[in-house]
Amino acid sequence: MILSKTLKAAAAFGLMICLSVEAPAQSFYAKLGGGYNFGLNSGIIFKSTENTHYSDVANPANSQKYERVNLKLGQGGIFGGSLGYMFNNNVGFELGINYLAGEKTTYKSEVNYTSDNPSVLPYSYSLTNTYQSQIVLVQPSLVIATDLPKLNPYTRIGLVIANGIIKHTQSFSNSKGESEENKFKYSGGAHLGLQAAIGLNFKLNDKISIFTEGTFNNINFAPEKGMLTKSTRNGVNQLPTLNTSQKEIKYEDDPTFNFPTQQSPSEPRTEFRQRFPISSIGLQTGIKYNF
Amino acid sequence: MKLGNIKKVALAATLSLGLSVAAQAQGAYAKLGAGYQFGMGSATVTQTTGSQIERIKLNYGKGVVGNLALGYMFNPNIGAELGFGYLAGAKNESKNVYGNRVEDDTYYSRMLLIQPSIVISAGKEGLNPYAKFGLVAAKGKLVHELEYTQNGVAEMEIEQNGGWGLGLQGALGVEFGLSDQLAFFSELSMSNLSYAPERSEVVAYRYNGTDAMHYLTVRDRETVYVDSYVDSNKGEAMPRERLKENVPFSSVGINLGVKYNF
Repeated sequence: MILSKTLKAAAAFGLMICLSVEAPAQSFYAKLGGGYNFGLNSGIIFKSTENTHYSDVANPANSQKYERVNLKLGQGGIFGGSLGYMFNNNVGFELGINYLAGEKTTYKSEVNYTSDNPSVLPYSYSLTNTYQSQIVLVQPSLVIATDLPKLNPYTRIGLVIANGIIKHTQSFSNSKGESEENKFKYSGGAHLGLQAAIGLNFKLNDKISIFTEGTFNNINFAPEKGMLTKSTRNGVNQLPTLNTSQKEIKYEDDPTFNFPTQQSPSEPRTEFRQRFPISSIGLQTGIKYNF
Repeated sequence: MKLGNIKKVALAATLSLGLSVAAQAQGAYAKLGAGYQFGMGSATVTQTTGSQIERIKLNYGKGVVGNLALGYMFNPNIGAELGFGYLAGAKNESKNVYGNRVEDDTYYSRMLLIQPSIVISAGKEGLNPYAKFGLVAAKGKLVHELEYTQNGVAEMEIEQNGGWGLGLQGALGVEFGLSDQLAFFSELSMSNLSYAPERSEVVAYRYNGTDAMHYLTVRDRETVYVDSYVDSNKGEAMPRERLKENVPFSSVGINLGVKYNF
């Protein structure tokens, strides 16, 4: 994969950078902080509103409106900590672990049928989808700092490894009072991306400083499996009536499908792997402690 | 994309960094380089061969990049740089076979990149590590060439363009000073650029080598991409409307070049 080439190049650069600078003071440090990420490179989904009116004297009048919805799964509150080691005053290494509590994205599509005929009741239904991410981010980075005495700017660049789940709820309701709800969970695998930050350390004393960072993550979440965790119709649990292929999905990068498909009902069904962008730009602040 | 949020973060970072360091050694510089970007975060198309369906990844951010940058170091550690680059995107190909119809598709990009950055440097002589972080704005086109063969050969070229792509970029680099004025640099760069074209147009259509553009109506030739639309038949003299889609241009790359200090 491309990232194996990236890893090699990054390792070569890291080694070159570490060898390029003298090594006076070396020190461990720990950071604890939190902030907010704004989602980037959103996945695009759409919602639609359709109205059809049946007339006794003319052809049905139909209009359908489509609207784009930005699915920003990388957006939400983030908190965590990191451990780092400065090889010298300018170059160091940091390993961060953060938790992203993603915000919900909800959108609704609606269909409405009306008629001039009074014996034909109006009919409408709506389909509501909600997505939310819960992701752990592991972030090894190379740190370049300026070693200024009080206010010390720095940058860090490195990899981000994401693991977690994306929750998806789909609800259906119609004007007859019928309803259905299905809940899916997409998970599995560790997903690689790149991250960088530019920040400022404000020293309170030799041990403690306050940091603020502008961060960005460039990563897609491509789960290995999907699971239907809840299915109800008019409040009645439908899960016992469904077979394995209706409840479980196995995502593959490059499956080859032959038609007619031969999916076994007792095995998870195979689908093309979906990639959910969880890229973000964010602001974080916190405390740094030098050991 | 929420450019407003990005602008606020970038402005806050720039002000903080600019105020944090006393102005000592200052210097303008220019850089000239080239490199290669490996695309990340691809779009996809399906490829059908008989009864088999596969998915093909389209990496629009992949390709050769040439760069020119002008920069100014406020002091040995902090500077600002404005880079201009040109991405000659590599070609992505797929082939579909439906009975006696064969369709060959080629997708690629051509983009101008503008990259303002803040530079954080270790300020060392000899081998000097540095990092930079900033925005990337892109303007250009996506090209789709298709050729399908079925009782004749039809060729079509479609261009998508309009609007600006926006994203963030960063790089980790090392400079090797040759003299007071001259240095070599090598960088590992990354960006998460995303581009949503505003329009699409068929720019060429030939059948058995003969120009056939006059057979296409405006609705056949032109599409405008919007955030929302009402699906209604506006006639053949109006462009078709479709929802705008973000095309990922994210990449990680390697750049090499020469730096000249004025």
